[in-house]
Amino acid sequence: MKVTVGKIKKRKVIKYCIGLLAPLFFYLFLLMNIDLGYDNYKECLLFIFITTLFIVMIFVLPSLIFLNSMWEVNQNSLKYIHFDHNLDKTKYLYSFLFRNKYPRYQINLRLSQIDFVQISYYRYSFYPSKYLVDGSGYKIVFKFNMLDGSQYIIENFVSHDRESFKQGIELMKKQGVRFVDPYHLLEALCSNKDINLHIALVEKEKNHD
Amino acid sequence: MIRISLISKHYKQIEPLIHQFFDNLQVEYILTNYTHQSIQDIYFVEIEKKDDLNILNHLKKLESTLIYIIGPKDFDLVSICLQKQTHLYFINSELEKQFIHYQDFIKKQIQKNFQYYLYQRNGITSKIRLSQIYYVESLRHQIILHSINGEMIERKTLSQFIKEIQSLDFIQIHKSYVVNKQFIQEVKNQEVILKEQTHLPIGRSYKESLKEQD
Repeated sequence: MKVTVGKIKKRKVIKYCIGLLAPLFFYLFLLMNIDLGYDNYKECLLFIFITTLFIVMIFVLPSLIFLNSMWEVNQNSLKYIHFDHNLDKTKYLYSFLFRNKYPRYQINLRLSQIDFVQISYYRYSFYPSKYLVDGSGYKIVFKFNMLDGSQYIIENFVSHDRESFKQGIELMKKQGVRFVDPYHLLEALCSNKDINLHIALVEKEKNHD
Repeated sequence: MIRISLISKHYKQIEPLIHQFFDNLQVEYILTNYTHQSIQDIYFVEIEKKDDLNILNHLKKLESTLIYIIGPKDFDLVSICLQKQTHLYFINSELEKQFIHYQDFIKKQIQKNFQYYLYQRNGITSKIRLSQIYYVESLRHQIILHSINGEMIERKTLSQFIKEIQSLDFIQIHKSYVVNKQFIQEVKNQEVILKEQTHLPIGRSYKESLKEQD
């Protein structure tokens, strides 16, 4: 059994392609059928069309389709990748589409070597200034403590794809991975609760104590 | 984080001494009660007689685990402990004095066994025990760290890695491979065989330095 969290779905790619490329090709159609009087204008607008198409295919499409991170768990190992740059996403998207090849994962951990996984959170600011309203959020941190004393701390482990996230966590638990979760964050994440609200309650309880 | 466990009938007397010792060393550590389920990095075991040494057979340990014995001034017990490959023997009546005496020695042992390789980028922080890395492979502009825990890929060159770790335990055997000497099982003419049965090629220009190491 294998669960992949945050994987690319071909159907999603097609949907986005249609959504993004349809207006562009409509523009091209208009361009070809309207008489602008001068050929130079047409050439110029055609150049704009090709440039826009290029930008959409290289930068916009991959960043819309991909999540920033992706992980996979099976009976033996946990694999994780975080995409550093947009160009990486582009490279992996097209190698997936045309060669059906998934990227090589950055971290590959043997489940049998994991001692326990500690889950915690910290508050961070979206913007440089802390004075902006609603400018902060919470980041959930997964700390993988290995039997040999090594540690792997991953900040972007939580995925928007909650269903497969839940399945991945369940599979890890089934394989004997122990989760230490003092704030019950995993429970909140797996039950689709608003995590920010949950942490706000945790903070409130902490202050009350 | 170094995980330390104390097994003693006089836990409350010895615990503050260990805390004081590791605070002075300025290392990140956690001292816990012994449980037979967890692996520790350093075990302090207090013994009174020969039979107490049986516990050593039940300790969960790795190759890097250090075992320090605290016991009476008894030559026979010391020699048995040496045979059992424990790392130090402290005499219980002179514990505080001996901690000071062996401070530098223990510090070196800790640095050798529990030194970390730190990687920090884009929301990933990993602290990998150098002593548990089998070998490092270079692939284009990336390196792959093969350790007991699995693999990790990093955008770096092999020479940058060697410069960063500054460890004598690692040796370059090929332009694309650096190996941890602790895990070498056999050196053949064309290849190195590691304990976990990986065969790695030896580069022509690295043969001499590998022979010198032998």
